[in-house]
Amino acid sequence: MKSRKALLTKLLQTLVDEWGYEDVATALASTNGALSDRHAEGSTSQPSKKRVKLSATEQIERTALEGEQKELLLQLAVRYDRKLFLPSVADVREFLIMMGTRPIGMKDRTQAFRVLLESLTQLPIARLQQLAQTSLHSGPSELGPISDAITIAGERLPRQRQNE
Amino acid sequence: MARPDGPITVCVINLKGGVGKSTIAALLARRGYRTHDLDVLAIDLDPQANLSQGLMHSDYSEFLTQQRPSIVELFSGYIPPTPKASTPKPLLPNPAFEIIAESGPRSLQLIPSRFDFSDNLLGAVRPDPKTLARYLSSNFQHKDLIIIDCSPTESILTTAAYHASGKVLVPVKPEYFATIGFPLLQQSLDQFRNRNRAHNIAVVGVVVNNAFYDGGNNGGPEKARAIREIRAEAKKNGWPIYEHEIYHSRGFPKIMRGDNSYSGNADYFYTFANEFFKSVGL
Repeated sequence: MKSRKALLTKLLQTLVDEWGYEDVATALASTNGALSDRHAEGSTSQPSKKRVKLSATEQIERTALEGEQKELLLQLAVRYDRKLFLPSVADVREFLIMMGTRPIGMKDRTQAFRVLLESLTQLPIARLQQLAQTSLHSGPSELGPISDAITIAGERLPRQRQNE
Repeated sequence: MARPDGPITVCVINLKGGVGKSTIAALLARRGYRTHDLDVLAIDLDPQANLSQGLMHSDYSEFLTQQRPSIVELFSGYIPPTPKASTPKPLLPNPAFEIIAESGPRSLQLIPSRFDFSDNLLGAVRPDPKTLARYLSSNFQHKDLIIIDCSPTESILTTAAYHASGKVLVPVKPEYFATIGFPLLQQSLDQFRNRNRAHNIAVVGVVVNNAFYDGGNNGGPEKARAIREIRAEAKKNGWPIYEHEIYHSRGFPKIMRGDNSYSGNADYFYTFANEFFKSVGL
């Protein structure tokens, strides 16, 4: 019994460390309200113990980050959720290694974002801007778009020559 | 912290195409940065731009579309006017060129190439082959390693690579025609040394990039014949051969494409890479 209480304290401490006391208290209060409502409706089902996985965007929204840093991280998170940035867990692992972090036991892409976020928050704004505005680390490239870009760039050349 | 003697600059060259120059340059640049904690600059001097595509992946399309600075601008010496800025701008090394990865003070940076590179350069008035060397000496002394991927055809770009480098890495595939580029390269280096007597440039080694699928016979008699020819030609020129070969692997094209899912035998690239870094003093 004592160990269960210790476990609960430890879990709560983890939540408080991650989201802060106020956010956790507010979330608990709303959970309590939701449970009361369910009981009031006469529901006999047990509350789900299944852990809800937060999307990358939700994880950023819940952070205490502010300003341009948060805005840029949100842009990256939206692309991450759409698998347009680091589309596989192997890509996340490679990205973290390239940033000097050694990820261990990373198997789930959604959960991997929490580890990724720790590294992304260390980056200067200019680097975040670059990551948000380019397709760097967007996964395997296809030759088609590169060929198209070469064709388009080639079409620009005669006009450039005339202007020289 | 910057090396007291400045960066080690290596050009990857063989005056024969299809030997894996761009792949080896990309892998050495990445490995130097991520495993050996080096501050690395990769330079793409080949208008085919495979090194650029291998490091930038999907972003290479945007680089072309957005007309971001490339090796063309380095040789021009400025960023030309754009729809937003009507005056030429100075070409500062950062943030003008691409940052592939960054960790604290270190980065893996790339000066990318464009398909119209040679056309631009040859169309210019008296292109100066020392431009690259001058730019590196002024702007990239803080780097540990500079890797230059060269075009297989000898041109003013080859001379530009020699002017910027102190060491030469020669990849070769053990097959018929393997050594066809060796005499050309030796002749090209000799001519450069004769014209630039104060410039010390040396072949640091020949690396055998295994063209064969190792299905248990390690390439068979044809590979053995080619290896004998490679050894004989290398000895004639006084070029050392790396002990570790690069194994054939379908993982290499995947890595160049930016697919990190499974690299197979490409994982053994480290055996050659470690030997290479040791040989250049890194």
